[in-house]
Amino acid sequence: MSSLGATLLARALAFDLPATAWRPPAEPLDAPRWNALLTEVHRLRASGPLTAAVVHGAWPTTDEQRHELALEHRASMALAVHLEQHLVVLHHELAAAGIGVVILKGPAIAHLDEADPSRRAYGDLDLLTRGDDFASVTAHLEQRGGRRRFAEPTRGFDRRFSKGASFSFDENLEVDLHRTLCPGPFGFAVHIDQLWEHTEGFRVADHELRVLDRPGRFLHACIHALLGQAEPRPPALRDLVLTAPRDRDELLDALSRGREELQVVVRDGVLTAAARLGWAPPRHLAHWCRTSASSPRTARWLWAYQHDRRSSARLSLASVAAIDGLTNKIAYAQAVALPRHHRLHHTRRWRSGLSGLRRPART
Amino acid sequence: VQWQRRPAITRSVDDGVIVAPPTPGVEPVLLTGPGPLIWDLLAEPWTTAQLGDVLGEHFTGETDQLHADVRSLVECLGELGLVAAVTP
Repeated sequence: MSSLGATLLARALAFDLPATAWRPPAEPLDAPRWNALLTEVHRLRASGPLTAAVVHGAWPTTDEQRHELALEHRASMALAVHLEQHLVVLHHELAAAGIGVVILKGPAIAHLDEADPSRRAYGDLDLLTRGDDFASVTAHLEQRGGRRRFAEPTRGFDRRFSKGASFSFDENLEVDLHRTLCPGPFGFAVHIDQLWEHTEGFRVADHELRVLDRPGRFLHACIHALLGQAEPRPPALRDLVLTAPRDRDELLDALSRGREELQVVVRDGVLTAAARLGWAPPRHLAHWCRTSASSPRTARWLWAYQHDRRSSARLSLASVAAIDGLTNKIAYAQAVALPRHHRLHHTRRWRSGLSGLRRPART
Repeated sequence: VQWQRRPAITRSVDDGVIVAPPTPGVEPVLLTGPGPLIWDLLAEPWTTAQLGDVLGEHFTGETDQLHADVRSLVECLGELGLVAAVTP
């Protein structure tokens, strides 16, 4: 990621956001700057806001630049349409089977929070399902040709502990199935039942789809922006701004969807979005950020996500502290320390070791 | 025959609108030029002749050619399941 490209992208993403200080350039960018911007736009699927800025005459371009951007945006939107074709059918099939799923991120933000769905691109589908339905949805996706990327480490792990699983398909389709909103300790701090109690609907091609309500989308946007990668991505910060609580009640609603530890993620997410997008959060949100505090415990959790050498081992270790109940902690630790396929391997070695000991005894 | 658009997935782009039926495997189509206007109008039932007349007010060109282009586009959209004939 070039810092030049990232800075320019932040200006493009901020163009239509409320209360942002960043402004588009007064003249078309020179070639090196434009190329740096377009590289970032492509890498982060962020052509929507820049295209809108150009079409509305807010971001000046040369004819060639506009053409390059149009091609990028066209490809990006064709993919979004392709993914929504699958989304509608998947959602319908699962509903017909009596399985509820809630759509997360891309399509939800595009249809409910953006001024126009074409301002939000995405490259996969994210579905939230209940732990008890996880196996049924997995079976359904596999029946449709989905290949799960990582096997369930031990029986019952998906239902009790997993963040989720990814499925890839032949037809340029990837589905991320979620049980909670992120891996690691903060994933265990989400009140999943609360998410399910507060959903809303929107229509795509006459099909009713379910998504989290706005406070839920805001909480998820904070989590995704701050914990999704070691370095927050500007499009995820834009989602956060678009779903930001409009009043204090909405903020309290969002905070009620998780344990107290999650507040540091919300606060740091808001502060990061403010710094990167030149955004002035609404007064009630800014005030809350100034007065909320973090603890050494949540600082350690955050470190596990944001450290340069972020690893699943670090997240798993931190997760043990976040899991309620000693029995659950032990079950989780066993599952991640010794997954089922490794356990089989160890058992075989142990057995062959025993037979090796026996053989000399018989001779 | 009057035509009306069916439920579809759409996205606007710089030079038009991408449209597809909610059916996996059916390639999205890009409507440019008068295409987006026709798509908008087809929210209500229209004959191709009526559409041609409306377009004549917005676009210059041979009237016969305009009507032929409209018929061709509506046929194409019909084959993709994006518009359907409706009875008044």
